[in-house]
Amino acid sequence: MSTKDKTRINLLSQKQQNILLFLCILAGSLFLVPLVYLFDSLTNGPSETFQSMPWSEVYSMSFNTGLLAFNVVAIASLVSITQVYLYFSASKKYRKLIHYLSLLPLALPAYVLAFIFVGAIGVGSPIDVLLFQNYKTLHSFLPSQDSFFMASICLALVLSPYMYMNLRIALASIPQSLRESASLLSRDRWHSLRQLYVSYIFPWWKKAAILICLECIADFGAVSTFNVDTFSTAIYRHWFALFSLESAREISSIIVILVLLVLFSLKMESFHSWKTAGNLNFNYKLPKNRSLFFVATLFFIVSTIFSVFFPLAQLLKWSTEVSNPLKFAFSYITNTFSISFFALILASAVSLLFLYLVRFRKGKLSHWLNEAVQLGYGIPGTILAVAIFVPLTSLDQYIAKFFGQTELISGSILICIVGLSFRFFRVLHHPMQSYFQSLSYSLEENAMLLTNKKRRVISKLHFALLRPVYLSAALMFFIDCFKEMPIQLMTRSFDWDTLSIKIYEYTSEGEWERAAVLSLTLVLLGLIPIFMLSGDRK
Amino acid sequence: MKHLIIISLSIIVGLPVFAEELVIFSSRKEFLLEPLVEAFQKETGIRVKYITGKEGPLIERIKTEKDNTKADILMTVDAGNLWAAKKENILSPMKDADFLKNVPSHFVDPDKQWVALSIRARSVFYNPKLVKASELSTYENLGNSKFKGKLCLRTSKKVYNQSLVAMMIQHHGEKKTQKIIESWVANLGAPVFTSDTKLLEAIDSGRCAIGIANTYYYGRLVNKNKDINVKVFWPNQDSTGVHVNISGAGIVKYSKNKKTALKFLEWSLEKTAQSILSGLNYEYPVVASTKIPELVSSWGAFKQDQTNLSVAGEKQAKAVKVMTKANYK
Repeated sequence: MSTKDKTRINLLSQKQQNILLFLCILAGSLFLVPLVYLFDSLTNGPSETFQSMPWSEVYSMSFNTGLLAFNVVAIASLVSITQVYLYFSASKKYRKLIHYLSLLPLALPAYVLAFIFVGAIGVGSPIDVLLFQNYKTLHSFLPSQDSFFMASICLALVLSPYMYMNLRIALASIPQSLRESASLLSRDRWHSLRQLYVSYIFPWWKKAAILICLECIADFGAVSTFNVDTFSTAIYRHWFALFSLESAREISSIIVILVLLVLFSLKMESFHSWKTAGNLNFNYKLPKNRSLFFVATLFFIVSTIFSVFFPLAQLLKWSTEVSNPLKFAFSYITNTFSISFFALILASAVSLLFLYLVRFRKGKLSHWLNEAVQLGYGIPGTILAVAIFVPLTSLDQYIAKFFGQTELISGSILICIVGLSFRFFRVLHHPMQSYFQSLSYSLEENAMLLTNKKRRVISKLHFALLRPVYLSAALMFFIDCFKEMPIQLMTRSFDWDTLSIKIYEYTSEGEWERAAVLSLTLVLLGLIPIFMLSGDRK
Repeated sequence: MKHLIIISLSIIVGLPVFAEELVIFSSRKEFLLEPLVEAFQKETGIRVKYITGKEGPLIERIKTEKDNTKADILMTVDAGNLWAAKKENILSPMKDADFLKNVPSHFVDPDKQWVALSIRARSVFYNPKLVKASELSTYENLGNSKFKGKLCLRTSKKVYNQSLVAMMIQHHGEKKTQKIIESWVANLGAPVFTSDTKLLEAIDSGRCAIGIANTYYYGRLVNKNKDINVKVFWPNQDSTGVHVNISGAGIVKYSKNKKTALKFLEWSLEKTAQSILSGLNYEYPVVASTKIPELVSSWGAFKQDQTNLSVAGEKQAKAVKVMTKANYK
């Protein structure tokens, strides 16, 4: 601890800090149980199934996962840079439209977009048959349904809003004085502007790129639809086809280790260069280049057609083929809402504890604990479901031994709630933590001069400052919980079917029309937080 | 605030099921299970609850919950999954169950830990405008070079294909089976499909000429459109017979309602339930005396593969490896 840290006013006494640490360890252990369960598989040595896995398979799934993540980041970058460029180049009346259209794919789960693509242009679709039977040359240009290309496009379109949101804030955070200096003082105006933008954009781009990579590693629905073999499909294969959960756990542990290495190596480098958003200015205009603007507009229209208009039109078309679709979908909406809401409450409470732990009880333990509880984002939902279910159910049995047949945990939605909270904790906690850490300690010192009550500082200063960041992070968390499928499927209780579970069931049976009704409902529900999210709050 | 907390907690933890109910853990889809359960409740007055999900997690759930599990019956599709459940030692043998005598022996576990409830055939389908029935003969013959660019298959990741190949390994051995699979892959006219329905639609449209699919998917399509350009062909009639698989069930070892569970399985193998099971999803009944739905019977009679279906589970891991080696995605 530096001398400066020691002389700072600490809002928490030593005793309060220790209690906070204890609470964080307690809350963290709930989240860390799955990690312990996964790593435990490595302590017993490799299982027979894992050992018999040929090297070619290991190589192929590593290569595929890496290539997929690279492709998706590259395409998502292209799409979102175009969107951000258009946003800051267009006149004000069009900006809102560009903003909404760029955010809309957030509401679309990757597995839904995947089944729409396969249903619409895959083998046997009207366009495929028409081209195959009449225009063989043209048919060869039609993208294959089991290809990296399709999987990459699908994931990139769905994940690009994450990149767009980050880049938009990055551009809005460039101080006007710097922009003016760059354009006036330098001999080469474009060169200096480019340097300025790149230096501001890069940290935000990197943050979004990591998030997208983690999503690609964890995705199962989209990659399995396009028949691309990645780590997550390997987990599925080892568990469901080779009947070896042990081997699936081992592969998952390796993924978590990889994710850990990537996260920590990037963090070490970026900790000091981290730029936080100061005053945001969404109103300035980028210097316009006509030909660039035209190409960007064209690209934006094409990408929006594939990420918004075409999927919605296809879902609408399929939905009209189901009788009484609203009644059919309604029963699953409340369950979806409830599970997401309770997961948000749990994650918010844990996040609050960790925010204060990292700020007021500095040290390696706090730092590593805080990093570890955010790892759920890198674990595929399928394996996380089991990793959370098995230990918690064992705990339930242990409790039952002492208190009789209580069964508080199994047979309830608690496991599902804990699973979702852990899986998406990073989405909620990371933006808040970045913002909270960027706040100067002098703010609290000044506040303490005005009032002696520490509670008032927390409620009037911290909560007020955190509220806008929390609202947007909570909405993102909510959307992610809405769309999540494997954890809900595997850990839900009786009579707790949600929209995503039913979509999975219907698509796996080829019941596209019924799946479309529920998908459309999911998308429309997802739009509510998106419209709330799209307000230009600072 | 207090009220909100109380309501929230009661919703979260207040949902345990009641011990006296019969509880089914099922990987058979809800819409295929519900009518059966309703009929049973109506006839017997016994309340039935069920949860649907993937086989792996359901088995793992029972394994973890042990004596605390609410599951009385595990119901799955594909015999391989029932074999896996047996291997995990979560099923109880139905030693004194006389009703098992009515079921052909290859549809009952040798140790009576599970029994088939309905049968689905994984057969060959063709577009009569593109291929003549006389050209078709066996699964193995689909690798004949005359079908180059005409064959379509569902992904090897689907358990139905894994069971089919497992049975082929049983009949031909690993090496020969791998060669057959390689010849199939060489004849593929399109990338592998993720669903049987899509595959059959592609045959109907003429995009593919032949393919392998489960009969009930065909039944669903014919029910929607009677003029579909797809016909069923029963392969291997002079040799091993058509590969059939099952949806089946077993009684959970830790069940506290074993008698009721046994009653449910016995009832499921009676005519009423068998008619519901086969009528719901165009499947074949397990009990021979049950009337087959009109549409299903219109496809004609066929010779089944009589190998005990536990083999599908035993050889499934080998099947996956053979398909991977043969580059069948």
